[in-house]
Amino acid sequence: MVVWLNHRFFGYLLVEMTGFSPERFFNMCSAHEIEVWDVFHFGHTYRFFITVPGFRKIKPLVRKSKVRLRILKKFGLPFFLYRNRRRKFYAAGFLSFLMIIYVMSLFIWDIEFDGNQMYTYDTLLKFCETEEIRYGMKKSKIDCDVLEESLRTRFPEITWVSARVSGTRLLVKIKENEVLSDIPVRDETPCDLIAQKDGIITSMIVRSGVPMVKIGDQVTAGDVLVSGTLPIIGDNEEVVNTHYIHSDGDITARTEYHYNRNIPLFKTIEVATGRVRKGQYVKAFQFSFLFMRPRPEGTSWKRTMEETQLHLFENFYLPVYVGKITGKEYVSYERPYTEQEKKDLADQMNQNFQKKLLEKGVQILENHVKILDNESLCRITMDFVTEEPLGRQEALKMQTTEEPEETNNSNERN
Amino acid sequence: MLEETKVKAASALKLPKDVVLGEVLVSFLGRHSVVIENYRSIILYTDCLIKIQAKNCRVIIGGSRLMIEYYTNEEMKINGYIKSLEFD
Repeated sequence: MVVWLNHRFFGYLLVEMTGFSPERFFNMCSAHEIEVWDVFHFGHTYRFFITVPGFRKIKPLVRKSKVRLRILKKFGLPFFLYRNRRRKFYAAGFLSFLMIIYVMSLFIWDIEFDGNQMYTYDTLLKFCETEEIRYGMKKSKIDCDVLEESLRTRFPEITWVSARVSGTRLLVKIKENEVLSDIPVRDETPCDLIAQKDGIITSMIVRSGVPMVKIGDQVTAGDVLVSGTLPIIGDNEEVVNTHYIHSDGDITARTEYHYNRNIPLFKTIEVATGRVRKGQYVKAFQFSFLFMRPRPEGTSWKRTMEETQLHLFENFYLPVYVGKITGKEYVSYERPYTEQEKKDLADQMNQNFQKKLLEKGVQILENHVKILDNESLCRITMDFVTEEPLGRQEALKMQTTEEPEETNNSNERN
Repeated sequence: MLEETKVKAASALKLPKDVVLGEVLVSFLGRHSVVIENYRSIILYTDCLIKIQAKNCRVIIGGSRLMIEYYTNEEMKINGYIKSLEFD
């Protein structure tokens, strides 16, 4: 390989030799360490390859051995350059290509995060942007240590960060804390429990606070269920003092959910005709170019795109994106829903709502679905009777002005 | 006298004779290629006969379409259709 490159770089010649004693010439060549190879006898002549530096040295040898040399062909870089000496723009193009590649390699064209589970890619990317690290910035301006430090301080759940620049990519590896970093502190601020929904109380366990309702009561949203205001009533049945506590309790109530959905009587159906149109596009910076035949008049197409970023090697990403577009033609028409379809649709909606309610921790007691048709619309009504925990903590207003006065009074008495 | 001592010494010490005595070393690769080491010079070269001078003898390689792939001071590689090898 090295020999091959050496030959190409300095150039080599195919020479034809005739004359008195070719063997002597060959022996002298090897004695003078002149590189000669692929010698073959060809009629009355000998042909061989010789390097250009070697050819410059063989003049005395030629004289001594009384041979005649004729150059048949020239190979290698010096001759190539000489032949193409007029093709300046070709060379300029080649050089500018190398230049562009070099300039491209000075910037960051891809940022990758690895190992993040809690924080999304967008969150981390946005944070990086506030740290002046963004797509398309100069590589030399990135200080990986600073980035690691700031990521760790900004996101306390990240326990280990390793950032490095490889090629035109910034690779950030993250390890997140998998155990809780701190024990949640018990909330001790005074508050009330407020009903967040209308319902009938079915069970009540109050751990602290004054219950304001009892089982079987009908409550509306906003009602106080458990009060955190604890009045201290003296012997004369007057309020002597008021304590404010953090009320707590498990209250369940029977609640109702009603959902209505209107669906049009006609269903739009899109059928693929099977005609497919394919295209490509290239995007670089803000420019993009689309190679695709225009769509015929009066047809509708659904398009899907697949985009990939170009890269030379594994880590040499370029700011050029290539995409494939596939268009599928479809024809849409409308037809009324069939009874079965309506039923399926209602079932599906019902399932969705059930799932949502169960996620909220609501227990479903009764579930009714009705489909009502009228001239213009089809209405699906769903009624749920449910049981769910009630009570939302809400900070209460404290009347602190009275307290100091009372203590003053008591002091006077003493 | 000196030669004899050399030969004896080489065989006693089990040294490679091609190195110590400068004997020619011919290695064939099938019948299409032969490498000759420790040669002195080329005496004759045509496409059907190559005569090579070694230290103590001459090596004659006969065949057809013989071609010297490369040669240096010590080593030479010949390609072609080799029919015979003779010492002279």
